[in-house]
Amino acid sequence: MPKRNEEDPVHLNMVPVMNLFLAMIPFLLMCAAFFQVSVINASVPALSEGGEDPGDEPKKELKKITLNLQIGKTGFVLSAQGDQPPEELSRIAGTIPKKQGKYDFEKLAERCKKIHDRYNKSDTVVILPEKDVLYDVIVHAMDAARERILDKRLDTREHLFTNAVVSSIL
Amino acid sequence: MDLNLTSMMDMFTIILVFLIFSFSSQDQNLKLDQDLTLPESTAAIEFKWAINVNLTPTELKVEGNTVAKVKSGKFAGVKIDKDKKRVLPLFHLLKKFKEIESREKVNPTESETVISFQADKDLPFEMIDLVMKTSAQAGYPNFRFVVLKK
Repeated sequence: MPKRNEEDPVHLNMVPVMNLFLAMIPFLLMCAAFFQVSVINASVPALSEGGEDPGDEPKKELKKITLNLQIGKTGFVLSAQGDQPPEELSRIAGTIPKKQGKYDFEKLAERCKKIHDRYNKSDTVVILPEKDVLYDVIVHAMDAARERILDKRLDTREHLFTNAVVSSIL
Repeated sequence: MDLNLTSMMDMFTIILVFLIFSFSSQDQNLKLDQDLTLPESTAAIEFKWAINVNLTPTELKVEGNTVAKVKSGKFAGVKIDKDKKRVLPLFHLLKKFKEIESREKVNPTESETVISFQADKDLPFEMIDLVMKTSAQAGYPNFRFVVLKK
């Protein structure tokens, strides 16, 4: 009887596996998302046609402001509008100069967070870029004012000024 | 002569695993313009139905149709009403869309039609402001800036 030193190799039938791969790969290639797209809601200022007689005086909202964010060549300029006294609104105002020639978005995000913590009913930011400011800068400024990412892995966010109104400096 | 399929199977397996992870079932009625580079953002709102307005470094397009030419960060060879801040061809086209919308139920959703705005990240705000103000005057004051998710 001949001695078997090695077992004969088992030949797998690869045809069904290859068939599966050749069917799935083109389908998945067509459905693949190599980059994800998202959107940012924004609007332009609405023109008011003039108010009606309100009758009773409207209730003052002291926990709500409208944040104005000017974007200029030298950096950001913050100011606010609201029912609060002018001295209080002037404390919110300030500038965030560029850091090493670049816009300081981190500092802007910190300031927006601090302002929102104090006026937690606020949700509107009016963005006023100068005409030469790039679109990329405007989008990053909107990101900084809109939300703060608490956990990137879990995608938890703290919403700040979620309504963005884009206008131009007159 | 037997073919050695090991390396081919290896390649297919890796490609398949990668494509499975990249699979997206998101409904996107959106065609990204190849002539522009979108800015990146942390925004996470899903895309919805809207009128597509694309501003590339060379053209202004509405639903894929060129409305105006752009050169060196400014509109070229197109009528602009500087007092009212209007790009006239864009204004007339969007006005037509608005009229059609009010006559026929074009928007399948109950919500207001918005402008889905794609613009190159290196364009100056002056151009974006003109497009936004023109759209608002035509009856579309609400926008969705399309961005790449970071």
